[in-house]
Amino acid sequence: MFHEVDWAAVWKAAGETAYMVGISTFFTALFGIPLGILLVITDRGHIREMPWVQKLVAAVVNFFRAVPFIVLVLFLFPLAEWLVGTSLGPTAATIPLIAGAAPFYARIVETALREVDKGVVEAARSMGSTRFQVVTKVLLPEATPALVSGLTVTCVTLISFSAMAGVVGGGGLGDAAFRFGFQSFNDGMLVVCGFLLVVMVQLVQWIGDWVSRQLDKR
Amino acid sequence: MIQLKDIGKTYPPRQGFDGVTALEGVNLTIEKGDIFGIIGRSGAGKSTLLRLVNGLESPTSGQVWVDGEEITRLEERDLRFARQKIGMIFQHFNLLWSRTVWENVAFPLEVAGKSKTEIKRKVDGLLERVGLTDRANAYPSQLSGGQKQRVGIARALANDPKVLLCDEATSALDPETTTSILKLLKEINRETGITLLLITHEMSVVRSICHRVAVMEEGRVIEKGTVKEVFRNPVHPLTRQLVHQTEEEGEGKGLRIRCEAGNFPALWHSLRQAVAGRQVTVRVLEGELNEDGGIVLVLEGDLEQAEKALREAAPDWVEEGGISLVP
Repeated sequence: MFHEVDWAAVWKAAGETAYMVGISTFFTALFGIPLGILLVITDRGHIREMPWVQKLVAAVVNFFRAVPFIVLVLFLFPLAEWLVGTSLGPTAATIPLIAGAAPFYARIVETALREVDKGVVEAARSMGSTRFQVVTKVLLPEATPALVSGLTVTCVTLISFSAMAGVVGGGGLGDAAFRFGFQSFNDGMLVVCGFLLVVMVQLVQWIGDWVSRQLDKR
Repeated sequence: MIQLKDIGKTYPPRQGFDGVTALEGVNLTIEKGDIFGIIGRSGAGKSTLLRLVNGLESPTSGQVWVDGEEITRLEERDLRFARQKIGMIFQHFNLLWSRTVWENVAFPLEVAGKSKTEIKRKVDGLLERVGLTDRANAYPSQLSGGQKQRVGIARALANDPKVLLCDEATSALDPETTTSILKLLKEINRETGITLLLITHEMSVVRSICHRVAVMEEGRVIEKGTVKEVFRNPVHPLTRQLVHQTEEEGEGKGLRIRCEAGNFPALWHSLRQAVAGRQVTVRVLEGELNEDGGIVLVLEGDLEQAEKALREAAPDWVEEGGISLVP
């Protein structure tokens, strides 16, 4: 079965997936963390009460989470042309991937930050911390293990999303499995691409768990 | 040092909740260097009152003064500076578990923008003061409750505050650890002249370290004065109840005696032998080991057995032992 596998194409596709997932994980964290912080601190009774901002951000986040990913892909690939200069290939695929994953991660960040003991925040305020210091010196460091394990979950989701984005022109293992495997009646190709995706997921999960454990001093 | 003038605090009604009056007509003056206790049941408003002093809560009416500054009128920025001079320790310690002991104590100094060398000097000194030098690199999760509270105390003292607020600081600790933490607080008060304001629901805490006390019920101060006065002559029924409670809980039933400090070592030695096999326990209640100090002991258990033990331990106790019965 495996003699028909085009290994050069497989490795190229694997590289594209890693690229897509890597870039979009980075930007997901970059957008997700500030959004999550905003969702928490603007809430009632927290350090920067702004109910309207809170409701607005929550609404935007919910909107992006409610739209099915495949619809995001179809709508946002054209936007990618404007943002990154191309509407094809792995770079273009990062746009809908980030749009889909950042709100998801923002909610995880929100939950992680809410888990931080209110007493510790109060203690920091009693010592004269600014709001900014409360966020950078208390909320984020105290929630780090949860932020890392949340990013792991998000990254795994991104791997499976990337396979879907691949099919509509993003490249990567999903695309390879579909075009060179499924459509070309090449079962070996299909199996190999699928297997590599599983390996990636396992690897990410394993690394994420390890890092989170190292950081957890509770 | 601290003045609360005609404080009122109400929480406005909100969807699903009626408005609540947390504090009403509270007037308190706490002198510099005092150890002042506020006692009351949970929900009496003590916690809110304590948080007014460092501006974590603001009153609906009235003024809060600390060290000549009106806390209630400070802008956010000035309030932060004022807070650096008002330390606070908590029932559940509220340490950052992601930081080591050393880093936890460094936190308020970082916040205050101190230099690295100064932070190092200060933190090392503070850890030595609270006896945790050898645990500097441990994480809070590796400490006992008493050690955590020592870290809390070191942290609260980092910026050389003039006032230390204690929010049920010993309520999560066992009796022995409570004693050692209270002793530490007392020492710090004596060494630095820091003003201590503590809230508690345990009369024994007030009794062992406070000079003055205020009793609260339903947002009002119902009785205040020196601890001696209030204990000797409690007026309000709640105060009576609290005083009575400590006598029952803390001191058990049995024979109470007071002996002069000089005689204490010999008496202690012979008493321990005398009570063996009598089902009587000897406990030291209070005292001072100085020239004119006296130690109050209780022989807990059957009164008759306790008397026998005392007679055996010190046959001529009345004349020569310097021992007297405490009613």
